[in-house]
Amino acid sequence: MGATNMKRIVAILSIILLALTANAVDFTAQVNELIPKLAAEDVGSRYEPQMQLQAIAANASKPGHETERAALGAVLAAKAVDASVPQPARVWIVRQIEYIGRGEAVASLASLLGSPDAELRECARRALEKNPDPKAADSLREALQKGGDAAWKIGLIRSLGEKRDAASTRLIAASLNDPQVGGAAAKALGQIASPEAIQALWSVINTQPLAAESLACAASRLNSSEIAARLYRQSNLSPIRAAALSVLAKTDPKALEEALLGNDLRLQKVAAELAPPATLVALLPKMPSSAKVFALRAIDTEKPALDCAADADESVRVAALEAMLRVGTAYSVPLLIKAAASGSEAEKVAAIASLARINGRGAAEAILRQAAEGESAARVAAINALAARAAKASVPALLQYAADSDAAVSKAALQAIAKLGSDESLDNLVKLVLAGRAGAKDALQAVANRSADKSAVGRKLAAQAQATSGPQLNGILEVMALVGGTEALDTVVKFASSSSDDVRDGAIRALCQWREFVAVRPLLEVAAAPNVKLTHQVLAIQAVCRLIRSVESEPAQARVEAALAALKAASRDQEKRQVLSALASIKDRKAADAILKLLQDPALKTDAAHAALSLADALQKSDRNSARKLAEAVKKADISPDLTHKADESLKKK
Amino acid sequence: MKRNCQISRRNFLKQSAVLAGTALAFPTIVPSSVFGQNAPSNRIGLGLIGMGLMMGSHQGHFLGRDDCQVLAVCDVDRKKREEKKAAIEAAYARKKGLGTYKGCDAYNEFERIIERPDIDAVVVVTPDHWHAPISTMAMRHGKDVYVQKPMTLTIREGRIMSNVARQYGAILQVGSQQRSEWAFRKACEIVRNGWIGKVHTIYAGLGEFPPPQTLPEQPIPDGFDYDRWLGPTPWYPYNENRVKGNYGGGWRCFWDYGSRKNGDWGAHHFDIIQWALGMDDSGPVEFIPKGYNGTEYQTHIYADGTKVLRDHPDRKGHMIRFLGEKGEVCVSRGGKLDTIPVELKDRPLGAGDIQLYVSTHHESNWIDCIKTRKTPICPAEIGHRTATICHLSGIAERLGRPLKWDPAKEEIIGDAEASRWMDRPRRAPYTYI
Repeated sequence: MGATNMKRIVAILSIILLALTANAVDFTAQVNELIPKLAAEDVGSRYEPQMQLQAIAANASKPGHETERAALGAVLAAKAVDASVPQPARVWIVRQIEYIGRGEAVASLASLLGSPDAELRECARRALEKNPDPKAADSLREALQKGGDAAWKIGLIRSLGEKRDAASTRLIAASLNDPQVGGAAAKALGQIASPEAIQALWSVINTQPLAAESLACAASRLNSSEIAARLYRQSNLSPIRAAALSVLAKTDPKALEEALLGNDLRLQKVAAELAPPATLVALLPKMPSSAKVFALRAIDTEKPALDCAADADESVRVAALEAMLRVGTAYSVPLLIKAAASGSEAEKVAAIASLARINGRGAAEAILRQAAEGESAARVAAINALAARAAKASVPALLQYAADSDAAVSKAALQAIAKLGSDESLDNLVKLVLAGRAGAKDALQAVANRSADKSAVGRKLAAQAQATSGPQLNGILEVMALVGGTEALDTVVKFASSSSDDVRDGAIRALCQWREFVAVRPLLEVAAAPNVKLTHQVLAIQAVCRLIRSVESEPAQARVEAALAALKAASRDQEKRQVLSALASIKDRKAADAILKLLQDPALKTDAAHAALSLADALQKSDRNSARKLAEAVKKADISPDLTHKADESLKKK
Repeated sequence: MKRNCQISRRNFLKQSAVLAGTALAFPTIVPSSVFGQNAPSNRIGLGLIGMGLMMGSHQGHFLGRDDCQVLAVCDVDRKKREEKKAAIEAAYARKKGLGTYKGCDAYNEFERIIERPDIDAVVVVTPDHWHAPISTMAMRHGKDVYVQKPMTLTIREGRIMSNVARQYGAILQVGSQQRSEWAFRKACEIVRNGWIGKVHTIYAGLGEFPPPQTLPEQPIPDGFDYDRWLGPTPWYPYNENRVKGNYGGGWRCFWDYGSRKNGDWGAHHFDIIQWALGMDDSGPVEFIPKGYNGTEYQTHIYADGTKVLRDHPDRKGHMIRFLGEKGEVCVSRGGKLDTIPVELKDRPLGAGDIQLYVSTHHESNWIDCIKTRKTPICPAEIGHRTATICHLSGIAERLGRPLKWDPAKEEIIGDAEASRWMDRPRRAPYTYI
C-alpha cells in the first residue's frame, strides 16, 4: 500500500474517531446529567428524564446517522454495566439499548446476563434478542448453557428461537421433555426449523404437546410439503391437520381430494379455500353436503351452482343460490325467481339477496322478462328484485304492471315505483289513484315527496282539478293532499270554500289529510267557521292534532298556538280532550306553561290534569323543573284522589 | 423485585394433546346448523376471558341468546371473576326459571378454558397485550375467537394471527363493531362507489390520553395475579393506575400495553377509513407524527395521495369526515350521517354498485358465522391491517420521525431501528405466540 493511500486511510479513520469521540463526549454528558434524575427518589419525576433519554436514542438512531447511533450505543453500554449507576437508571438505559444497540453493546449486555439483579438480567436478554449482531446469539446461548430457573431458561430459549439460532438446536432440544420448559423449546425449534430442529421435534411428537404445532409452524415458514405431508398423515388432531393441509394444498392434490371428500368440516373448509376452482368443480358431485357448501362459496363458474340448486340438502341449495350472486348469469335467474317465490325461508332469503345484485351476462334482462309475464308469484319476485336493484329504467314497465289485473303484481309494482319513480311517473300515478288502485296513493306520495319541484307538480294537479268534477275531482284533491306544496294547498283551500256541498266536502276531507304544518291555518279556519258542519269541524281538529304531534320540526311555539286555537274552536269535549293530548305531546316548556293555565279552567281542569301529568313524564329527563311544576299544579288543584296520587308518583321520580 | 411466576402451561394442555388421541373437529353444533336442522340442544359453548369494563355488554348479549351458553369466565382478579361467575349463574337461573344454577366455572388462567373440549369459542376482552397470545392459542386448539380491538399489540402478532386463522380454519371476529352500524357502512359505500369523487383528505377524531407515568410501587391486592396480568410485557412494580381499565386512561395510557389513542379510537376510525377506501388488504405508505417539521396533525398517507389527519377540528361535529372532489361524507355513531350533496345519504345502491358486507349486529354476525363457517365482517386479516396503522402511527410518534411503509411486503422502508418495533420481546414464561 503506498504512503499516500496510507495517509488517506489514517486521515479518514482520524475523522471518524474524532466524530465518534466528539459524539461520545456529548452523549456521555447528556446521559450523565440524566442518570440521577432517572433514579430520583420521587418515582413520578423519573418520567420526564426517561422520555428525554428515549428521545436522544430515537434521534441518534435515525437512518443515515450510524456514527451517532454507535457512539450513543457505546455510552449506554458502558453505563449499563457501571455498578455506580443506580439500578433504575441502568434498567432504563438497557431498555434504550434494546431499541438501538448493535455490536458495541453486546459485551455489556452479555455480562448483564449474569447479573444478580433479575430485572437487569431480563432487560439484557430482551436487548440481546433484538440486537442484530451475531455475537448476541452467542451470548444468549452461553447463558442457556449455564442454566437457571425455568422462567429464565424459557426466556433465553424464546430469544434464541426468535433469532433462528440454528447453533442452539441441540441445546434447546435437550429441554423438549422438561415439563416446564419443553413447550418453549418446541416453539423455538419450530422457529429455527433447521433439519436438526425438525428431527428433534419429530422425536417427541407423541410426548411433547407443542411439537405438532411447532412442526406446523415450521412447515408454513419453510413452505415444506414434506413436513406438512407427514404431519397431515400422522396427526389425528383436526386443527393440526388443517394447518398442515394449508401448506400441502399447493403440491398434493390427493390430500385436497381426501379432505374434500372426508367428514372433517375444518379440513373441508380449508381445502375448499385452497383448491383450484377446477378441482372443486370436478369433485363436487362426490362431496358430502357440508363440503359442497364450502366449495360453492369458492367456485368461479356458474354451472356447479346451477347443478346444486336442486340438491336434496337445503344447505347446499342455499349455498348454490348465494353463489349465483357472484357467478350467475341469465341462466341463474329462473332458479332464483323460483326460489324467491316459493322456496323455503332460507332459500328465499338467499335468492332475494342474489337477485338484488346478480350482474352476470343477461341477468338484468332476464329479470325484466320474468317481471313481464308468467305466474303471479314469480312476477312479484322479479318486480321486487327490480326495486332492490334500483333499476330505474324499469319504471315505465312497472307503471304498466301497476295497472295489471293481478292484484299481487299491481301491488308489487306500485311498491317498486314508490322506491324508483320520479316526476315523470306522477301523471300515471295520479290516474292509478283516480282509478282506485290499491297502493297507488302510497306510491304517489313517496314519489311526490322526492320531487325537486313540488310547485310544478301542484300546478299540474291544479290544472287537472279545474278541468274535472264529481268523484274524479275529489280523487285529485286527495292526491294533492299527498303531494303537498303551496300550489296544491292553495287549490284545495279554494275548493274548500266552494258553494257546492259535495265539492266543499271533498276539499275539506282532502285538506284534513295534509302532511305539512302549513295546512294548520286553513284547517283552523274550517274548524272555527260559523255554521261549520260538525263532521268537518271534528275532522279538521283531528287533522290539526295529527300535525301537532307529527311535525316535530315545527317550532314549539307554533304548535302550542295551533293547539290553543283548536281548543277554542272545538265545541265538544271529545275534541277538546284530543287537543289537550296533542298539546301534551309537545315536549317543551311553552306547552307546559299553556297547560298550567288551562288547569285553572273549571271546564277543562280534569283533562288538562291528565295532559299535565303526561307531559311531566315526558319532560322528566329534559326539563325537570317544568315537570315538577306540572305535577305540583295538579296536586294543588286537588281534582280527584286518583290524579293527586299520580301527581305524587310523578314528584317522587328522580 | 418480587415475582410469582407460574410455569404450568404444559399441564393445562395435556388433555388436549396428541396423548389423548382426540381428534378435535368443529364444535358439534356446526353440522346441525350448516345443514339447517337447528336442534334446540345445540348451543355454542363460550368462554369469556377478561371480565373488566368492556366485557359487560358482550356478556349481556351472549347471556340473552338461546344458541350460546357461557360455560366459563377467566380473569386474573379473583374478586372480578367470582362476581361475574355468580352474576352469570344468577342470570341463567332466572332465564331457566330455576332457584339456583351452577354451570359457569371461573379460572385465573385462560389455558383452562382453552383446554376444555366443551368450549367452542372464546371472547377475548383483555388489555391489548394479551389479545394475540390468547387468540392464537385458542385458534390452534380449534376454538373460534371474538377479540376486542385493536387486534394486536405489534405488527408481527397481526400477521401471525391472520395466518393462524386461515391455516386452522378458525372464525375470528375483531370487535370493530362500527362495521356493523348502518351509517358507517353507508358512508363507506358512498365513498367506494365514487359518489363524492376521489377522496383526498379524511379527518378522524381520536382525542388524547394523559401521558403515561412512572408510578411508585404499591402492594399487590390479595387475589390479583399481577404477574399474569403483565404477561409478556416488561416487569414494572404494581400500581393500581397501571392496571385499571377505564375509558379515560389506566393501562390504555401506557405504550407497554397498547398504542394509546391510536389503538383505542384509532382502531375504530382507521378501520372505517380502510373499509371506505377499499384498502382492507393493504394500507398507507407513510406515517408522519404530529410536530415533525411543523406538521400540525398526525398524518398517514395512502399511495394515491389520500391523507388522513388525526383530530383535525373541522369535522363538523362528526367522528370522521371524508372530503372528495365532488362532495363529502360525515359520519358518527348513533346513525349520524351527513352528505354533500344531501341526497347521497338516501341514494339506493344499484345492482352494479359496490355493496359492502351487511351486518346489523357484530356479535350476532360472529355467532352466525361460527354456525355457517362463513367469513365474518371483520376477520383477522382486516383486523391486522387496521391495527398495523395504529402501531405504525404509534411508532412514528415514539421515534419522532416519519416512517415509510410497504404494505405489500409489510416492511418499514429504510429504517432498521424503527423496524425493531414491529415486534417486542416477551417476558417468560408468557412467550406463547
